[in-house]
Amino acid sequence: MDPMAAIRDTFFQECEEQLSALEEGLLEMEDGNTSLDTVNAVFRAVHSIKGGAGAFKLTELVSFAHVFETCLDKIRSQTLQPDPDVIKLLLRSADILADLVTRCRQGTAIEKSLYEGLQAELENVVGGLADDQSAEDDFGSIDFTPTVIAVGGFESEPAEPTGMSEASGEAVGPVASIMFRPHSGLYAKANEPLVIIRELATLGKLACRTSFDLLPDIEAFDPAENYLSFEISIEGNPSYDDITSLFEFVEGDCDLKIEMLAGDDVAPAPADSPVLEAPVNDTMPTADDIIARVLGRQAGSEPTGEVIALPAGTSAVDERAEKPVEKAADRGTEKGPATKAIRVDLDRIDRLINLVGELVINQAMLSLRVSQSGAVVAANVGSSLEELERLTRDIQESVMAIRAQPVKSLFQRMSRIVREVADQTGKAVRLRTDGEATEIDKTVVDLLADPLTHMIRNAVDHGLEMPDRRREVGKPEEGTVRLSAAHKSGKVVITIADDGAGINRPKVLEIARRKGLVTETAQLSDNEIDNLLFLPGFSTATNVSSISGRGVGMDVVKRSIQSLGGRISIDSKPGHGSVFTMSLPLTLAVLDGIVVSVADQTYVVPLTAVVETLMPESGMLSSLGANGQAIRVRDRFLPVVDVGQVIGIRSEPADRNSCVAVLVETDGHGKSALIVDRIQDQRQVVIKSLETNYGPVEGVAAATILGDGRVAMILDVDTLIGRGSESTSSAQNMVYAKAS
Amino acid sequence: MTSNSTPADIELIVFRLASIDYCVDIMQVREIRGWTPATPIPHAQHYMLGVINLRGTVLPIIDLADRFGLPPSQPNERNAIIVTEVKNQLVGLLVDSVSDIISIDRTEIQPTPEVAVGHSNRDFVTGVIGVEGRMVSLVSIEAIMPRHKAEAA
Repeated sequence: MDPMAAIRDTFFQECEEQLSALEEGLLEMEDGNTSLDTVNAVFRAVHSIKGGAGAFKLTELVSFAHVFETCLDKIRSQTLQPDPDVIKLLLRSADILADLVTRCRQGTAIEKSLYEGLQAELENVVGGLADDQSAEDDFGSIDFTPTVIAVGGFESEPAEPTGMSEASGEAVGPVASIMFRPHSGLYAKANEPLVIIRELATLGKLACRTSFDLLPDIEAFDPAENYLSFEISIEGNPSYDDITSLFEFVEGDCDLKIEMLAGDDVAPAPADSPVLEAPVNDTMPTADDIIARVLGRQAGSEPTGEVIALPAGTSAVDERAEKPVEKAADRGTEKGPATKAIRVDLDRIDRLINLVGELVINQAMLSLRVSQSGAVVAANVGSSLEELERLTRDIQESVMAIRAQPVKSLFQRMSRIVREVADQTGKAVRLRTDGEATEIDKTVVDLLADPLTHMIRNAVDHGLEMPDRRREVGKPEEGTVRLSAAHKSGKVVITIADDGAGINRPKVLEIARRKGLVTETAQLSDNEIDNLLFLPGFSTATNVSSISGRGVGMDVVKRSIQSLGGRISIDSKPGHGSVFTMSLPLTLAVLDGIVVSVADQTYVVPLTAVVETLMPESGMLSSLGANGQAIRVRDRFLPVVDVGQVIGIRSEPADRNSCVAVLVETDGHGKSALIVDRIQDQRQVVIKSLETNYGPVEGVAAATILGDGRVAMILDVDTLIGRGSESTSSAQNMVYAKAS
Repeated sequence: MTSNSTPADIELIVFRLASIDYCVDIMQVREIRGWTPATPIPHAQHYMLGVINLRGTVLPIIDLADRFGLPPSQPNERNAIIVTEVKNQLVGLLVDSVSDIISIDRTEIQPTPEVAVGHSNRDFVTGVIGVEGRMVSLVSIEAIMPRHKAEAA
């Protein structure tokens, strides 16, 4: 990849982080937290995107981000009240900004209609951009005439850099002398000289004095103007670039003079001296030159264009410039600076995971070989093997943890969906999220996006009632959709709950009957009716909207969840809303399972489905119909699924006298008993795809490789039971529409 | 190994199945390995012997004799598995033995002769080649692959 593309890539990656921070901040504001920290974080996100976009000449992005930023700036300076309407507008703007970023990234054309309307709205709110400045101004300008400009709308007090270190006696190494006079505009943009000075202090030994020389008479005093300036000297070999980069963010809003002096040439500023009398060396570059150099190597050319040519990359410059502000804002909040992270290509991690998978298999083979060798295994070999097994497992878990990702990014995407659907349907909806920090395998997160989007749409479109209807039944007009994630017994449980009308069961049943999905006479329990929603070709929407209800609905959702090794269930209370619960595996790479034998073959039953295992005593198994069986467990009769028969490897049932029953429970079918010949072991197995080289197999979730090097099938308990209960014609009245 | 092949040349791996010679394009062959017991796949076509572990990859094995309508093989350690790759999918072909690698000009491939009905190989054989007086049938691996895997049930 050429360096330019790499920098561009980095920019877009950072954009995503910024967009996510933006959305997070806006949602916080929506919840009433309009503290300066939050507003600053939001502002910073938009500003950084604008900055980077300018460097890459993404003009549409820049112009939109600019208006957006101006609007946020008004909120920051408290000239604009962040009322709910404004925040809604901002949230929509964030969506459009994300769209623009996506388009820029893909290089697709951007229609003006996409953002113009919103841009106009923003401009309206801002009030026509009274103090209009060109979009590139605050990161690109090298026009650096030190003039005093009175800018209106300035309300905060200039900060007094009190408590800064006093000048010290002994001078060591070169000294930088800085004259820094902030304009009121600097404060208006919520920059803070103190932060910059603090940052300067990290470059060397710092002495700072405040000069009051410019203070006018009381008659001429403008309370909105800043008359103070700072004289700063830094000892200890500070570099030009480091100093200028700290001022880059405020450049254009201050008078700045930086001079580098050799240590011997200058006496340290006496502590009582009102003004630092530093000799001016004419050969030293002026601040203008320095800044011009940082922004673009050649003076006189378009600075924004030049940034691109900088090998160091614009993002680096931006980051440095932003650092002081960011630090200030992050202080005291829980999100510390994300310093100890590296970006790693996903492929590399996957390769590592595959290798560790091989290691696990090999370790199992080794154990097996040693135990099969027949020789009396020396105690130390045995314990070494155990140690190896433990280590392997630890390594595997650590590697898996690399892939784990919080569901936060996924949940954030959902809030946009909610907004859009709410807009389209005219409903007032609030999305509440819980457990955003819950970690789950990256693949699962990625593959979950589509089903989750669909369910969220459904919840808003079908689940919630219209506002006037809600008022009639005494609910708040604003509906709530609750999205939460949590770890529960080795699985991740994601629930989507709405406080709407609940599932209209008579209507569901009627539709199912009309479509021939159930027989006319079938008596279904509430739960069974709810589960009709998951049947292919079922859609409750009386009027098919553009949002949901295209007939490819929950069955697709269910299938995607199942393909992830997960389960989905519904719980609905009429008048109180519905809850969809998805339980998903933490990882797609390994699972704990019970290794069983059926007719000389080995299968793995995922442990998550297993409730208990037992040896049926005589009389516990009884025939049911022609070839069906039931098992009596503690006075309850459960359907029996003979694995050998259902999987099709033998036609006669297992020997009743020697078989083992594995009691399993699934969301879709309740408790059942799987009959196998023998239980071999319980162990962790590496999941291998059967679909890569073959294809999906009904009743089989995936394959694995056992210690003896042979492949074993991992059973898909839910579909096995589905097939089993179908063929034994138990209490199931549903006629499943066959997909194949 | 004849490596000075021009574009018109094609290298073929010749194998034997029930005393008949077949061949496949060497470009589609990844490796040749011995027989190991396969794990049956539920609800699969009768000619799918099952899957084996190929260094961590799950490799499906087709009994080529069964696929061609010949009596199914009774696999033993003398059998060979030709691991082929078609459309990014790996599939192993169980054959009696691998006998030769030949290099021919593409023009030497003749159309399959029209023979009596019921000769099911026709679907899988794209042409024939005369090699030292013997007829070798060129097998199309694409045609061998089970078509509607998802509907195997």
